Amino acid sequence: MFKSYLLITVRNLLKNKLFSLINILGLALGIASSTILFLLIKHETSYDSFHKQKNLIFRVTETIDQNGVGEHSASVPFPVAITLQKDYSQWVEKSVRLFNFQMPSLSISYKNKNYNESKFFFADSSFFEVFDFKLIEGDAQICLSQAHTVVISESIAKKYFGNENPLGKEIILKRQIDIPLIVTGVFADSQKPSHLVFDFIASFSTLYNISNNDFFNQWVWNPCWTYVVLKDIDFAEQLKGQLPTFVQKYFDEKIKDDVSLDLQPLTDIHLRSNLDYEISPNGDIKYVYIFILTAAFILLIASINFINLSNARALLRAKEVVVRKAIGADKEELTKQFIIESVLMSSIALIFAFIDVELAAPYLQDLSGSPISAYITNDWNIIKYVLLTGLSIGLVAGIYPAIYLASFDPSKMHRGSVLTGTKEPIFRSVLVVIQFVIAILLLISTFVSSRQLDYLKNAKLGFDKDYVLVVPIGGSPSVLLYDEIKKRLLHHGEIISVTSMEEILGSNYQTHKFKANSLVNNKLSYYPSIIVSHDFLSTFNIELVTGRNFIQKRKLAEVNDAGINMNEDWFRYFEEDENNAVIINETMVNYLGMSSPQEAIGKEFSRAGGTEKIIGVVKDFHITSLHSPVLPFVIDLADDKIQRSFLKYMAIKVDNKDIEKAILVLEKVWKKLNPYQALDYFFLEDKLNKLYMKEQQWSKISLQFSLVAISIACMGLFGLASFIVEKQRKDVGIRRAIGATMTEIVLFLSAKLMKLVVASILVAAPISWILMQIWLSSFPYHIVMSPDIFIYAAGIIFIITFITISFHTIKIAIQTPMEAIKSL
Amino acid sequence: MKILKTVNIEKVYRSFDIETTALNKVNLEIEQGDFVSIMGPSGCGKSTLLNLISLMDLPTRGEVFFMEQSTSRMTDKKRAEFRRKYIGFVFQNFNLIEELSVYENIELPLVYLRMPAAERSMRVKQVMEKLDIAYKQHFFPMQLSGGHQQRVAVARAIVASPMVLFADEPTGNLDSVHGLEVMEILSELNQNGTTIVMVTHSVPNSEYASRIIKLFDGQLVSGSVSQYSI
Repeated sequence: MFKSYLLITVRNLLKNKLFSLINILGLALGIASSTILFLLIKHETSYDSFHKQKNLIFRVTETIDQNGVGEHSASVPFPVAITLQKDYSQWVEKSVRLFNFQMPSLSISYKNKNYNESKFFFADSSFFEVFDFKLIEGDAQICLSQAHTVVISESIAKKYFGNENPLGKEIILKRQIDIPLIVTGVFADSQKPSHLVFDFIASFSTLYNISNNDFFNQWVWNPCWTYVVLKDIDFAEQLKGQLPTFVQKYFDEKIKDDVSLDLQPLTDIHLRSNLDYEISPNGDIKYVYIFILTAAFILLIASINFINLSNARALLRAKEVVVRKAIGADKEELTKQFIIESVLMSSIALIFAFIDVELAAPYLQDLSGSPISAYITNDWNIIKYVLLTGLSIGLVAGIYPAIYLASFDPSKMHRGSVLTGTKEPIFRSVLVVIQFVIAILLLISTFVSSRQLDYLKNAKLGFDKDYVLVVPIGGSPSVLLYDEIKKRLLHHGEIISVTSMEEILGSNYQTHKFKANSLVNNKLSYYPSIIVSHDFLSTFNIELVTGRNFIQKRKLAEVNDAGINMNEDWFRYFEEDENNAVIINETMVNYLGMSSPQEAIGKEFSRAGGTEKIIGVVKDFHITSLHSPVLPFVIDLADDKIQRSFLKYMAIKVDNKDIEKAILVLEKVWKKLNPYQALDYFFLEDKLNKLYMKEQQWSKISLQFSLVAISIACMGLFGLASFIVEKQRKDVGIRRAIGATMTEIVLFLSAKLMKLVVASILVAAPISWILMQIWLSSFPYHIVMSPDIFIYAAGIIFIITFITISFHTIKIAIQTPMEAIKSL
Repeated sequence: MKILKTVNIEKVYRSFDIETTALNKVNLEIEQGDFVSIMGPSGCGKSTLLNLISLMDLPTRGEVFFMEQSTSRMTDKKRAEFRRKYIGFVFQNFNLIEELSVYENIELPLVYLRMPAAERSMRVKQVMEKLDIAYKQHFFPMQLSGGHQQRVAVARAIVASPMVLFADEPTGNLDSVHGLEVMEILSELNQNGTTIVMVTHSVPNSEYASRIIKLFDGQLVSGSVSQYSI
């Protein structure tokens, strides 16, 4: 029996080649697209899931909330890990800390090679006990147990040592002093996704050797990413319950009432964490949900296609059904036959789907733009998913046509044409509308996401991001050379302005303690802030609302000469802005409860024990991406001593006509003054655009899958149109005979399907408006949905549909009336 | 043995508010071994009657007894089983499955009977030889003449050795030579014991029958009872 089903399936497929191709390819495209989305979902949800103790590992996070300002930090003070382990040893098995001086990169040298490495961390010796990163050389038990040891990645070993054995080699970490590190291990370059991305893990004990600073024991500065391994997952709640007591017991008196700690499951970090100072950029669970929805939509479109086409073709097989019934086949047998046929067809589609996925796999990127790990694409689960999806669709999609076919009444159908008297089923029309609603939804989402992305990239940030070169200088001797580098650079006409800053403007900020003279908050609190050097406002063209910019002491005479009125009260205070002055933004003025920016000038806004006062108020600007609203913000001028070491980046405004020359100048000056450190630089605009990588990737993915959805829907419509038009061939003949023009015939034939498309547009518009409003509301700054988005989407769908249908309608319309009638 | 009996069967078609009575209180008996021709003008209900007594359709009212069993309350599955085991059907327009070869078309009823492959092969070959179409066994219906297609249709109808063979205008789409051939085959089958019920317009064809039933406007005019029953 099965052989008979197989035989007739194959012959049917071959008999209607175009139709079979459309049906199979549509399904294959649907399965392949959903599989690709499944790969993305799998990739995004598999972060850190390869660690054996993944369910027992928690990251300790810290929130400092002081009257609405403060930080939500992914890292905590140095002593937290050890103290937690000691005080709660009944629950905490192990702990590990990672630390990188909070520097964007660290300077490493080996012999005469110098590199800036951004993936360098110090970690406790328990690192390889907590996390399952595989060592390919060295002993995981002891490789980090000694001071001045380092474990490096396979690719770093190759980069520094070529084919030489890396074990025992000495590299130098260049800080203010040179720190030697002996290579004690090499780990495999990980292909498994993890929020921990690193190339160097140096032993934590090295830090104690090179510094006797008391920050190892203090409970304020929070630069350590800290992970604890619990003895049982049930202890997490118990430990969380003890954290407030822990904070009160150990944290600094000045902040302990504002601090809270929390435990974050390791496997939640990538998708559900968006804290300050994340160790690497995270994903977003929102996009996983969007991927799931899109995959489901595409599968639905493909399934509907399959159902509709199989169903339409079923009419051509009515005769076969009747004959089979007449010779004794019952409904059950016929249903079984058609379902098996459907599953066989979907099996063929599966082969094409596998080929599609294999071809696409090397080009797949995750939301951060990185390639999807090979191990994900080779995962057996993917194969299972594809098989299960394909066969389920075959089964489910086969049921309706099978039941529909098997229900044909032999007494009514065994005479005459099987096509006569069969109306266009409402069910099929509903399915077509659903397909097009989904296609339009995806198209509108493409328009909206692309416009939102443009908006994010091109929004006025309140500062100039164009033609600004950023050079990392923090954590290395370069920071000490900053003044000289700046002086030399400014000798060249291509360099307009130079400043330095603690974080990349527009990307990130720190929080620092200040005491405001305000009714709202007059105690030392952590405020979002940035430490900068002179010429910060001018380099970024940040607008002063009132007050003045920072002035260098040595330039004060020039200011006097310029005739600026020094008698005004607010100006008189400041002889040394480094120690006496801060500038705030307008939101801070509001936060402090002041009625105007002018009122803020001269008010105390000092560091602990300091004498800083507010000298200026700048217009609000976006200190971080447009994912966050503008915060109350402080710009503090670095003093010449300790704060100088906080400056991590040099920002150079260059002449837009001479960019290449400006870069050459930078390279020349750098090489001359700082020959033992590699120069890294990037344009601020590029860096800030990367903040919207998720949106950019989503916009790309949305466009690709909208096109897939529209293609599948149109393939279905193409097949369906051929049937609908075929059924009306006689009508066409008669209409032509009584004088209808070709255009009238085309319009007559297209009307029915175009009506469905119009209905789809009407249904899709309000749904997409609601969905897009929900998506947009997740951004504090977003576009306003305008009607033209809907008009464009509707227009595109309308035109594509009309062209698709026209292929068939025109073919019939150009026949002579007799040709049309005779071919019945 | 009465192989078929109808008691007051009626068939009414409803379309919107209009009711059309296709058959009106038809009583009919057919004995095993009969060769019955159903005749009458177009639209008199010949095919409707054939559909009802061949268990292809259900009467609106009345009862059809097949092999002395009431069929009105039979499930679809049971009716399919009866068609499979006891009934063969020859259509006017052959109704061969175009995707299947001559051999496969003929074999199909045996497949539904779950007959073992070796036995199927033997029976298909026998019937093909009997109808002289063995040399066309690998052909597809589209490649055959009308006469050959009808031979294949007859072969398929008789391959499972049905008790009754129903034929709806079996020569309607054939020329006179091929028509005659088909009638000779039916006649021979009848002589070998197969009951044949045939709808026809053709008077010469009707003469092959041992009994003629005449219908007019959905009512039986003559021939309701077999001569064997009288």
